[in-house]
Amino acid sequence: MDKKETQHIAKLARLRFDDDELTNLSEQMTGILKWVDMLQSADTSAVADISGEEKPLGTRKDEVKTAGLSRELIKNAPEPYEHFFTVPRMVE
Amino acid sequence: MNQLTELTIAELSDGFGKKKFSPSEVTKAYIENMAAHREYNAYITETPEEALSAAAEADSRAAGGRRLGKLDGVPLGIKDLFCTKNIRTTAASHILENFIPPYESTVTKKLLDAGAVFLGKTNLDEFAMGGANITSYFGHTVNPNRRKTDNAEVITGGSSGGSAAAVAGKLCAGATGTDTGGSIRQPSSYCGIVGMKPTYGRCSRFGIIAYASSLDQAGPMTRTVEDAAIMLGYMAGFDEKDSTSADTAVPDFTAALNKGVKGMTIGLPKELMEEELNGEISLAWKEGREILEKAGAKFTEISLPNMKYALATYYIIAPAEASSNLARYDGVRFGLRVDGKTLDEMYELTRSAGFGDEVKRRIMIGTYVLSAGYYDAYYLKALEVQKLIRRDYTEAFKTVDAILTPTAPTTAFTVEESKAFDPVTMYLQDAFTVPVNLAGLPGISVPVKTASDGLPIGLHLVGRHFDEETLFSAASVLERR
Repeated sequence: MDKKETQHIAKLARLRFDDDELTNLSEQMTGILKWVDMLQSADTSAVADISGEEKPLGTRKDEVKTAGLSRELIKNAPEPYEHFFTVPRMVE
Repeated sequence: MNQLTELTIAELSDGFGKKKFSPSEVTKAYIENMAAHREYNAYITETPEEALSAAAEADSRAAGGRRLGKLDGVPLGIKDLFCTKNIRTTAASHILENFIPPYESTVTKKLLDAGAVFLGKTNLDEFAMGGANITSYFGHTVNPNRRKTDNAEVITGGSSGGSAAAVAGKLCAGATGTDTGGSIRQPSSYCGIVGMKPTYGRCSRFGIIAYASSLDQAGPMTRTVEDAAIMLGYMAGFDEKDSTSADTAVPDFTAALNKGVKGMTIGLPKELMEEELNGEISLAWKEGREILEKAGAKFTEISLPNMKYALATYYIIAPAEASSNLARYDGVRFGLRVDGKTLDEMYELTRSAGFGDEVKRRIMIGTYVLSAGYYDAYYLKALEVQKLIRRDYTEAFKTVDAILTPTAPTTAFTVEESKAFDPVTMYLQDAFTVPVNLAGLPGISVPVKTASDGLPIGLHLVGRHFDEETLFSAASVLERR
């Protein structure tokens, strides 16, 4: 994985790295990916024949329930305004 | 040393019932121990006032003969990954350093309803990502056991390292942990305590800060197998707030403790027997087998041919889920915010300042394996291999009731030694525990021996889905030698 590709993934992950960090991270990710590449040698051609044994997930009734926590939840916001979350201006 | 903190949960419960001592006396003794052993760095947040007030309530229930059960008045440590109402919950991350949940996780609510006393929130690897408890924003934890050969301070293992140190160091009677790839069992092995990861779905994940949702599972960390059985009984059960929690009856796990292992067949994975293991770990494994044989268990060789792929599979699936789960930490609704001129800049600056290196590394790997062009080759391939691993276990459990292996490939090491590891070497510490999470099976680590360097060695028993009872039966035989 080269630095350019690492930079692209960082952008997707909304992370920022300086040049040294990118170099380091490219190396580490290359190492990790080389190691996980061993999976390519696993024969998964018959996987479709393995039937699922797990029980399907249960569903619950489609009812509106509220925890009534909106006032408390907003207290954890870094910059709340009344009962709103705020973000930097997006449109002029 | 205070005698009260030496007692097991079972002994405390008995003593409370007989009014030999009170929950307040025991809680105070633990609070003193916590203050005397800050060098373990086991707790991120201590809550002595809340503990004493909960203990006072337990006192009056005990005095009035109205105890709620075996956990009533028992002081516990809670891994700081469980949301606790009005008590700071950090996941050992800078990004959640000041997060105060307005609600209680289901598991901790069940423990509170049972009358348990919470002493505080225990240290962990940041977002439970790590195997040595060295990635915590609040500093690494220290194992109460020292290495005798050089008197070195060693790590606790991770990610539930604070809980392991607190239980081993007598800073709580028992603790909660979570286990995504070995995070309960591996630190339990390194610290010389019992750690049980139940079947996926046995405990609700509601209110547990998510790492890899399809693998995360809560469980007890205790000084005895009996205590683990007691605690799990209170932690387990269906919860409509977690659609992956199992609507399956919770048995009385303590009833399995004295059943013994007569007639039980236990498997030894031949792939692991052919590997060159650390000599002392190998010897402990052999001795464990002899103990169980003497008690009437039969042993047979089994094959888990795809176990060799488990770690690589895990290091695709878990980061993939983590990259998605951790997208919520963006500086908008809770946690740290670093201002930026645009929304994207704010996201990037916040996340870069808020997450540590290991968390960033896993988010990057996860983002990569889910990105266009790599999704099929990595993520889908890993899901397919996971099915092969599950099938291996299904086949094995047609002939055996449990599987015995070591918990970890080595005893605990020092922080300096761990710094010499590259990420992959560090990941190999979880080689024996990770496959169990991928298959959703229950596993327990039991301390069986002290190595010549003075550090504990644990053995690992794995059972069928929802058959924790067999593990408790076999584990208590291993423990009683």
